[in-house]
Amino acid sequence: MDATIAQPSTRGVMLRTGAALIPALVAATYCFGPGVLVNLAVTVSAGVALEAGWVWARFRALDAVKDGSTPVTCTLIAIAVPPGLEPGILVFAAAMGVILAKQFYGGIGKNVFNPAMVGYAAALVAFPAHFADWDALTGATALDALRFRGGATIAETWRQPVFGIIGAHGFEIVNAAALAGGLYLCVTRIANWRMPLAVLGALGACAALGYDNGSSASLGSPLFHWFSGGTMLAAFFIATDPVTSPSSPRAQWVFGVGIGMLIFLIRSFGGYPDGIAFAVLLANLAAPALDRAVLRS
Amino acid sequence: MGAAVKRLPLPSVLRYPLLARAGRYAPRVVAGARVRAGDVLAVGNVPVLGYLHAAESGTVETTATDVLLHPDGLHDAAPPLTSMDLAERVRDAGIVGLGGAGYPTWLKLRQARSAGVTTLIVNAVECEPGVSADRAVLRNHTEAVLSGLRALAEYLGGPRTLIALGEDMDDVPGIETVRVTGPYPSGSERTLIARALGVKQQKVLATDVGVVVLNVATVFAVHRAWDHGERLLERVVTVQDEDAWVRIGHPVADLPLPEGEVVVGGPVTGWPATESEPVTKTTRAVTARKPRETSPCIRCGWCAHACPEGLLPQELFRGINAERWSEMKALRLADCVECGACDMACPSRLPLLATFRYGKSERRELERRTHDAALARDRFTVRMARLERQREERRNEREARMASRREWMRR
Repeated sequence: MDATIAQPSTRGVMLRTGAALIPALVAATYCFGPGVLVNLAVTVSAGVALEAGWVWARFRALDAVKDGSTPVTCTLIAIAVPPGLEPGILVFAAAMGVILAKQFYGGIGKNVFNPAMVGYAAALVAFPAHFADWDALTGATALDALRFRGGATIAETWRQPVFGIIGAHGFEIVNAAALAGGLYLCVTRIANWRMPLAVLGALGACAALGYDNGSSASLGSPLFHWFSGGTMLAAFFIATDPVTSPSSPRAQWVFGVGIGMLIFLIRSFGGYPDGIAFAVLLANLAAPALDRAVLRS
Repeated sequence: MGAAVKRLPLPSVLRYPLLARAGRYAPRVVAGARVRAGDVLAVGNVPVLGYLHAAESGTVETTATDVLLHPDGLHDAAPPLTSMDLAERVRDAGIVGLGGAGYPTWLKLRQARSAGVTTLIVNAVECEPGVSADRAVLRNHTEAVLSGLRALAEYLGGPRTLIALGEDMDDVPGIETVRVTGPYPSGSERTLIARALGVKQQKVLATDVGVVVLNVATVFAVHRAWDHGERLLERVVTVQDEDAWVRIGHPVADLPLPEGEVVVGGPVTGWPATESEPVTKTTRAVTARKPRETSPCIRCGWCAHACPEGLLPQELFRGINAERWSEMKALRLADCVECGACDMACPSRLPLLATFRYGKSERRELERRTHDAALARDRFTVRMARLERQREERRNEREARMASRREWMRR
């Protein structure tokens, strides 16, 4: 090994990130069925093929495809969308993420928005009906059930099958697996630890403010929010995307807190069941300004 | 105990450049002359430069820029040095700081003695990953280093003596140790002094606090000069990943190196070698680097985390590539110590250090040009003012003369 290189390469970073996603993939497949793996196969192959085609058509070196970032992006999309989603929509999501969000901006390192979240959000906005099918299994529906529960208390609502032990049924397991993978990334210093901590801290604090031990007016508890929807994936794998997050520590705190608060606000008061994609995209939009503000102060 | 450090075979020619950063050397030999090992080839025009010694016996050739020495392989040596003053002996031996700065050791010793010294530190902390020349000297010549250290301590009036070692190095018996821990670049002189004195402050100058730091190879050279009357004609160089005794003047192109871009001074912080460049007294390492496969910056921030000065290398890199020179002040480009820690951390393998060096030189050039333009403008204004004043004076004189003439006509 070269004595002058102390850190893994970009490719090595992506490989480790991919490895850290395996527990969440396994958990999702276990809870939601093999549709997750179909999603994975379709998005990854479509994403890589589209990117290679794009780079080739622009007479660029194919090295741009070798960094491994596209499979990671597509894996995140595959976990985020409903299992067994129509292949056309999956290809659409991959194309929006890899081509629109990344290649249009000049390739890896130059994109403003997280490609996985752009792909997911584009598909969600373009094909809302298909996401409504994401029925009794989903965390999103658990979030819905909690919101539109009439006058019931939390304990009463919890008897519905969409809930699990602490969060949404199934999703709590996926979240626990994503948490494990995310902690591995933080411990090995592949991912920054500030942003996950800020996201989870802010989401937990907001949830604690809105939670009154489960009356009929209560919002979800911190534990419920942490272990429902895509919370852990967002905190560890999406907020930590180095390209679309700020680089100075103070800006990273603000960025993470912003995502956490936005997730809570959209979940509790917004029009979509899970607000993760929009929370992240809004924070991405603010990231350059946050960095600049810190540099000035 | 490691294997003994071998001596590289004699090259067909040894090269001694006459141009140095601080000045130039004047040859003291004529073309075709025969010299012995240790004879003076050239003398610097300023004291900082000292002497160039012949590393081998042979025949001399001179050009406008170099003294070339064709060794005859007879190893005839000049008589040993005899001066009984340590600083003079060190000066005559041509010893300079072998850690890389190349400051003449005799000047450092003189200054230290007159300023008063309480602590003498031998620095054996390797300054850069991949360079092992210093530890090779210490491992193979421990007794000799200690002997040189005793002579130095005596000359400096008996200060406390310490040896600075890296985390993974064995203790040296018979001398107090100061450990330098932490990731590269923790072996800098400032860190070392702070640790040895137990102070937190890092912005201390060695002489202000009565500390002298000498590289371990320098101390060994002092031993050879003082105990054996030998001049500094060779040094240990890390050639790729093996340490070897190399004669000063050995052309870099003749070193046993694999394919790649040859850099002099260490695999991380070294500079690309020129075609005719030889090994000098300050050459710690010569490395052939494989080209790094780079990819775009992903803004991971690892470079900023690695930077000992707390700079934002990723922002500097973008700024320099976009030639946004006005940003460089806020980003503190000038504070870059050129340690290359960012290069080692970068997952995209970007040439950060090389870019910063380029940026620094461009900025110097820009400042020089701005400065020159300002000077020219000043000179121009002053000249115009002077010409105007002279015209004014002439006009006044003429008017005065006309006035006096009118006066005279009227009378």
